[in-house]
Amino acid sequence: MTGLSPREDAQGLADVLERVLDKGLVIAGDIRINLLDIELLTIKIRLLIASVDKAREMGIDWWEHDPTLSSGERDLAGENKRLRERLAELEGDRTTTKRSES
Amino acid sequence: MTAAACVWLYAVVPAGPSPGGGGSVESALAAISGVADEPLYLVPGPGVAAVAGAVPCEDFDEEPLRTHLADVTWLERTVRIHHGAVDALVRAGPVLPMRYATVYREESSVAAMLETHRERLAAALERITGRTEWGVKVYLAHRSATESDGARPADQSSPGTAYLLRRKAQRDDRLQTRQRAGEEADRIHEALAAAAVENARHPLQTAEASGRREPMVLNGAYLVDDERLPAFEKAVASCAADHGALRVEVTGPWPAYSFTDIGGLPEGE
Repeated sequence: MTGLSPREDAQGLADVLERVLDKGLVIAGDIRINLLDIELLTIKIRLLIASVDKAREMGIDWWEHDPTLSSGERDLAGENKRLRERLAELEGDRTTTKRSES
Repeated sequence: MTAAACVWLYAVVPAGPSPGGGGSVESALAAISGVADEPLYLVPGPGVAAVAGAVPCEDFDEEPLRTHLADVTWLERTVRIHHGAVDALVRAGPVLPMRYATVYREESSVAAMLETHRERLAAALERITGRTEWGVKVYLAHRSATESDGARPADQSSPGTAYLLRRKAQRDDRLQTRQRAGEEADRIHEALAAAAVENARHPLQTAEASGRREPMVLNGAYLVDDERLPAFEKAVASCAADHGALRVEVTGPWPAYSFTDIGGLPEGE
C-alpha cells in the first residue's frame, strides 16, 4: 500500500460519471432534464474512448494535429491532398526506419 | 439581439474569505473555464455563494440540452469540465458540488435559491469542512482452482474426467467465494465506515462499466476527517491484508459529491 494518492484516468471514468451525474447537490434549476441510465452512459463513453485509443494505437491520429479537420471544416480536395502528403510522409518514415535498422 | 445567457451552476461555497487559508476561491475561478468555455464567477448570497457560468441558452435550455446530452462525446467532455471546475475549487476551501446540469434561466433565480436554502447550505458546508471523500472499491480477485479443498479429483482419474471434475470444483468454488465475498465486503464497509464520519454505498459497477473483469463486491464512499486520514488509510490497508481473495482499490480524493444531501427539500424544489 503506497498511501492514498490522486488518480484520474480512463479507469476512473465510471467513478467520475456516477458522482457527477448521480450525486452532488440536487436543487432543481429552471431547466429540467432527465439524465439517462449512468451505467449505460459509462459503457457508451468507455466504448467511445476505447475506439479512439485504438485508432491512436494504429497511428490514425492525424485529425488531432490538423486544425482544418478538427474545426469541422472539410473540403474534399484539400483533405485528399493532406492524406496524400501524410501517406508519403509515412512511407518516408518506413524507408528511414528500414535503413536505420539494417 | 445578443444571445440570451442561462446560468450553469458548479458548486456552492462559503461567501467571503476562505477559512482554510488556502488559495482564494476567486483565484481558483480565474484559472478555470466552464462547460461552454465561459469564465466562472460567484453569485453572492447570504453566507454562501454559488459558483456559476453564463452559458448560451441556445445550447443549454431544455430542448438543446437534451439533444446535447444524447451525444456521448459532448456529455463526456462537459462532465469532465464540470468535475474539473469543482475539483479545482476544493483546494480553496469547502465545496458543495452541484449535480451536473443544474441550469437556471436567470441569475436572480440563483440568488433566490441561495436565499431560500441559506441555512441548509451553510450547515451542509460546515459538515464537509476539513473532510474529504474517498472511494473504496473491492473486487473479487480470481483465485486458482487449487484453492478449492476436498473436492479435488484424485490424480489417477482419466484425463477427461479429471478435467470435468476440476471444472465443476472450480465453479462450485467460485459460487461459494462470491457469497463469502459479499459478507466480507459488508465487514470491510463497516470497518471503513468506523474510520469515517459518514459513508455511502454506491451501486456495484458491472464489468463493462468498471473496465475490470473481476466482479465488484463493494463500491463505497467515505467522508473522512482530513486529520484522521492516516487512520482511514490504515483501516484500508488492514482490510486488504485480512481479505486475501479480495482486491481493495482506493479512489480520490473526491469533492464531497456523495455527501451533499441538505435534507428537507420540498418535492420539486
